[in-house]
This record gives sequence, structure tokens and C-alpha cells, in this order.
Amino acid sequence: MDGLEIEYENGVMRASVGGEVDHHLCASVREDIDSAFFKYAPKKLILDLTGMKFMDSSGLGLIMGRYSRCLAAECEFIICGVDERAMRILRMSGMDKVLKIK
Amino acid sequence: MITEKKVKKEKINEVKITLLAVSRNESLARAYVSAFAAGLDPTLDELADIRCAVSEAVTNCVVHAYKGWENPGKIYINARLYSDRTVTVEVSDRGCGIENIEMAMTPLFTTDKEGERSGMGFSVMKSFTDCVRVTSKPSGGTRVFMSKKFS
Repeated sequence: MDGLEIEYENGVMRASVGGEVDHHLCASVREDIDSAFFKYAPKKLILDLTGMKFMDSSGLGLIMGRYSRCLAAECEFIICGVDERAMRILRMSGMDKVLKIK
Repeated sequence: MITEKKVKKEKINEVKITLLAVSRNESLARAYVSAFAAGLDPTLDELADIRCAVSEAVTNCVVHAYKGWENPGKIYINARLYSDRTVTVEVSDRGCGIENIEMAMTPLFTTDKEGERSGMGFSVMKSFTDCVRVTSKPSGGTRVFMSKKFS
């Protein structure tokens, strides 16, 4: 699945992002995640990157942005489906130490 | 008597691509350059490194170079393959230029907080290639040169 899919159930919002997670995709996906986030006001946000085929530092920006949104809203933030290449970028920024990665 | 033959580094291929600096061309630039670099038969990981580094350089042109312009400017890509299994990629623009290159290359530094830029673009380029050189002239544009030698 390319693009974004959002599910919400019992306080848990799952945003699945697939395809090439670059600046072009992040620009549109970000707004859609945020509007659902404000609509549902979840207790937990899961950013699921299982369907991701590519990620550069724009994807890192998307992750950092959602992390700070959750921090401000006292919402638990979890990312999953991170591949080895995306992990390299997370490690470079030090975000691997603050994020809950599953 | 054994004579060692010195392997001379020769250019074996070159491509020039001009793209409009719009975000939909980021994936196109990655695809073009990785298809071209595949000519040296690199590993999938090496190819993914190049793809990511090119993506960062091109995204910089889209996000920063022509900011505030009425119409988007252009991105100029010049890629070369050498006989010693090196690929070089130059990504240039004729946009605003970078005032302080050293600061721009500092991890996590960004001038575009609203756009949720991570400030890791140059760090990724440095980490995924062997060499990154940046030259820039305020109001004259920026040129990013990257090279990587495949195994």
C-alpha cells in the first residue's frame, strides 16, 4: 500500500505510511495524520512504516514532528516497521534513543 | 620481469539531467541516478545509499533554493561513472545559495522549522557517500558534489 491509511479504535490511532517516504509524500501525509490526530485525540499513536520502500531525512522530519505533537498532547508515540536503512538515519539523529521502536 | 600496469581512472559514462525544482521530481531524480549508477553493477545496498544521498541533495533544491520565487527554478544533475568503479553526482541549482555552509552542514540545523525539516540532509549525504563537497554563492546558487566508490 502506497500513501497513508488511518485506523482508530479505543484510544489507539494507527497511521500506516507506505511507499517512498520522501519530502513529496511527507508534505501530504503529515497534514492528514495531524487532522486525524486532532479529531480523535488518541491516547496512543502508532506510526506503522511496514509498507515503506524508501526513507530519507524528510521521513525523519515526519517522525520527529509526530513525536513532538504526541509529547505536547501527552499521547504515547510508537513507531514500528522500521527497516535497517531507516534505523541508520534514526541513529544519526539520536532519535533512536528517545523513540519507542517496535 | 613483472611490470605492474597502473590502472588509469577513465570516465566511462556521463549523463546530464535538468528537472524542475518541484517535489514530484524527487523520486524521478532518485530513479534516474540509480538506473545510471546501476551500470557499475553495485550491490543493492550501495545503490540504495546513492539513491538516498541524491534524494537529500535534490530535496534541498526543492525546499530551499528557490524559496519565494514565483515559478520554481531548475535542478541540474550531472552524474559520471569511472573505470575504478566510482560514481560521482553533482546536484546544482541557480537559487538563493547558502550563507553559511558550515552551519548548514551541522547535524539537526535547519532554516525551515515550519516545514518540519530534520536538518539531517547533509549528514545523510556524508554518511551514505565517500565524499561530499559543497560550493555556494549567495544569490548565485549551490553545487553539491558527491562521490562513492563501489566495492
